Amino acid sequence: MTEPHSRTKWGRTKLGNGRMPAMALAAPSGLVVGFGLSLVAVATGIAGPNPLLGAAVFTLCLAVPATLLVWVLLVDRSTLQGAAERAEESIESRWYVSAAAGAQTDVIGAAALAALLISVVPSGSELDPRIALLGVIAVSFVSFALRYQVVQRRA
Amino acid sequence: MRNAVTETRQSLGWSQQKLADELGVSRQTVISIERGKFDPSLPLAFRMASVFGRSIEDLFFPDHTSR
Repeated sequence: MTEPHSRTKWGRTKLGNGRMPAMALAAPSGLVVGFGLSLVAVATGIAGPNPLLGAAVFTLCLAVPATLLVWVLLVDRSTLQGAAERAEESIESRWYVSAAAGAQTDVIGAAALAALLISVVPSGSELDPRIALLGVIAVSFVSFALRYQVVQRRA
Repeated sequence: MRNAVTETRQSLGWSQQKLADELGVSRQTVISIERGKFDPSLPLAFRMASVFGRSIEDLFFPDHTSR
């Protein structure tokens, strides 16, 4: 078991034979990933007519999620403050499973209803599939968040 | 399922956080077990009995069984 005093808010990660703060590695990595993706956005024309501004905006927007993604992949959970060693046996795991199962049901229901409406409405076939997919993702996120809050408050 | 986790923990002078650390679970898990809102898995129940030095039957009992 890792001693409590060696735990930090953002945790540590193994690097060679030693350890270093996970965020010290994740932040620059996330910035590099964000910048790399912004170059792709500029090259494909998604970033708009001004490449410099487009690259800056894309880097700014993508660096934070990329940093968090790298951090999630790198951090050693046993060095995180408050992280349970056996998370799968904690009640939060049960809340997660319950919320995820409910959210899946909601997404299927919402997608079925949306498909029905699209097929009935004359202009439904003109619906942009990107918007439809974003809608599915949004429904799943919102459903999961709400359901998790509900099961948490009931406990 | 009812349990005697609170009484056993308090008899040892342990906090909920201390018990959670011993078991490797979150404090919220201990709170929910003590309130009877969460039935632990069998391995967790065995571990709990082990850290308390008791048997599972001393800690957990079905609702219809009188203590």
